[in-house]
Amino acid sequence: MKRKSIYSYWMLLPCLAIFGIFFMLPAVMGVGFSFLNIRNVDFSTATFAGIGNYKNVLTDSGMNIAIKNSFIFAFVTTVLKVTLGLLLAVLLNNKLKTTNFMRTVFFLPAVLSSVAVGLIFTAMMHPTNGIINVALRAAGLPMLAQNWLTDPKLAIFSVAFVEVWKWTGFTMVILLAGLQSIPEHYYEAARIDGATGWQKFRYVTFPLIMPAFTNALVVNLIGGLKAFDVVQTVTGGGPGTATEVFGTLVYKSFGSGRYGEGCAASIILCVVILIVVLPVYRFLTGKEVEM
Amino acid sequence: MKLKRVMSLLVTAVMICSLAACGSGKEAAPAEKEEAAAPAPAETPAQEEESGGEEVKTLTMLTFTEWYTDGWAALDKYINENADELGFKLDIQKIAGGSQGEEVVKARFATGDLPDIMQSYGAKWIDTQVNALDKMVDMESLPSESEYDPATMEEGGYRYNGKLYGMPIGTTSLLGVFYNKDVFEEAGVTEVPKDWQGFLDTCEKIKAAGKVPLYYSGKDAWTLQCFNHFGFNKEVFDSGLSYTEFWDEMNTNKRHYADCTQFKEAIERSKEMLDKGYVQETYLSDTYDMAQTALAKGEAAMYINPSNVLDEIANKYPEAMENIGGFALPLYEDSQNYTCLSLPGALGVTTSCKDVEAAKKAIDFISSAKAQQIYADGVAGVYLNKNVTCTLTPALQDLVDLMQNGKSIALWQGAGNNYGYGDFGAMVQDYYVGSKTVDDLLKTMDDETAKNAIAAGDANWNK
Repeated sequence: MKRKSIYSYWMLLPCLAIFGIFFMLPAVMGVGFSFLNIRNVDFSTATFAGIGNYKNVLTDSGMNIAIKNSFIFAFVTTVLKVTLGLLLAVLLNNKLKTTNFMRTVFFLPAVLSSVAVGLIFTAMMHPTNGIINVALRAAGLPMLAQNWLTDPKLAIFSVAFVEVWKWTGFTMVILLAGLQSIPEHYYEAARIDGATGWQKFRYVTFPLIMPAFTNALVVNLIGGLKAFDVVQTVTGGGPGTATEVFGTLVYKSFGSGRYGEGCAASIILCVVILIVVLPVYRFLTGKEVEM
Repeated sequence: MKLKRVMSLLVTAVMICSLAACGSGKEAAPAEKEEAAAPAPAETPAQEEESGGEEVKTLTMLTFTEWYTDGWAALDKYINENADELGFKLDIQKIAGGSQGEEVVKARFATGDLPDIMQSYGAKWIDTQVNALDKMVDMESLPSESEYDPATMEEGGYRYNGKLYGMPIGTTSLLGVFYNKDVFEEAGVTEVPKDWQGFLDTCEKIKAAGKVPLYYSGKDAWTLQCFNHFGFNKEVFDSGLSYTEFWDEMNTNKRHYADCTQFKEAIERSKEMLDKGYVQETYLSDTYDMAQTALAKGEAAMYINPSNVLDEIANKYPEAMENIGGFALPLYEDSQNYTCLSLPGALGVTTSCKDVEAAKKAIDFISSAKAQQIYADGVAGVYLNKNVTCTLTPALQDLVDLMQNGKSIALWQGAGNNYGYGDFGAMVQDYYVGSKTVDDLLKTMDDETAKNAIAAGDANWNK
């Protein structure tokens, strides 16, 4: 007997059209542009560039710094956001009087504008007038006062700190959702078996929140590798090129009007993210357990 | 439960305040406040309104926020208050300037999303940097053009390739060293330095007096290029070529930044200031705004910038203006030091304008002595309209005196190139913090130029 579909396939057309026009077409055009010498979307003077744009990106004087910084930024922010997010999620999964309030407070930075956060932290990290150094000096710790955003060796970590401050609460929410999906009787069984708090976390909680953990880690890793907004607003990639990352490099290519090179840089960034994230994702999904 | 509600309200209030704080930049100019109170302006270009039988056209205009000076605000206010008589009013859109603002303008040219009137760097910039001269209207001639020097109209690119693409708007900018007279006096400096050694001696005395000799506002990286303009001018002089010939060679891959020895030396001297401790340690965190305060309040003795900075200081610290003087950076012997002169931007009509005649009439009025005088009453400066008069601040008068004594040149490091050389401010930062040598910096400028030229299909780089 022929199974009758409730809806016809043609009903997919509006979705496909939107997906095609707004996602597929720009992506395909981006690949096409990356092989052109084109300035400011002026097709009349566009010429075929071969792999010239890719060569330009890969030999750019800022590329080495951008690669190094992107990986440092992605690693530091992912580790800290996931670790702190997990810690907060476990703490705020308890029934406290202020649980909901605290959850809101920690999530709040995620809804603030990156520009505002950037401006606030730029002011806070000013070497003489910034509240961080002022507080350190007032506390009798002047040796800890640093040029947070202008020391080329330190600046990328300072920007990473801003990113961690902004997005830890968001990671906490993802992990909290995972924690709340664990049935209470798993813990009851563990209690009956005499498990300690750490053992309950190690053998019950963590394996069961692996899907949420994988999600949080992968989202943060991708976000870290394609970081742009926080870096741009806090340091603009500076001083000089000290905090340049892939995202700011792509922006500068587009900003110079070299659309072909900008597209090539975007595609390289996309490939790098896939190369890094796919093995991590596969490894982590292999560790997930059925509830 | 009650506590929960109070907490929720508190958190919501904090969020709203944080977001609202982001939205509000500096206090709106008086004219902007009035605009906000007035009915919303027409959205469609060149919209007509009936007013006592007379047509009042609303013309859209785009400019950078930084260019919307007190003078512009006064003129805008006058136009809108006298719209019935003038037959037009302006709906001015202001976007943040700098390299990001330029990108917005380029994107709007590329997509055809243009206002009726555009305030820009002029026809050459639109031609060589935006590739969009075909989107600007040749205004042919305007009655007010007779109030301007024809040679300056050509030199400033207002009349470009024989066609009138724009009329000057704003003041001529003069690049100089602005200094606080009290700090000089306290340090025992009795006259402005005339040569490089004199400049170093002055800095040493000021440093010994416990003040910052020279203020760098490196957080706003564009300000770092001001020092080096003087060296670039020397480069052009020493080449024995005219300004146009010099740039023709640069724009055809025959001459390169890496070959510019005077320019290189100026960049090195700008770092020498840092190495000798003549610049404040926090220069990479300090902004253009902070520099104005430091100079006005006497925390720093000197600051190098175009004269527009004086307008900013006059707004914030009017009482300090009498105490600020100006001179040309003495990088070389006395006879070889000049102030650099930059002509004002241009107002032009775009091809998106539905009523070109109305826009031309509006620009003609704005360029007239009457309108320019209203502008000048808001911002004192050097105006190209010959019939405008105004009292200059002492610092600007110092530079104008240099100009009138033949000690100024209309050269500007980034004004003649057909292809961008990248973010010079960031390159200088790299050099200052030791990530690049000065040779790396100059090579990066050449590499960026080459990339842009190749992207534009320039045969001179594709050989």
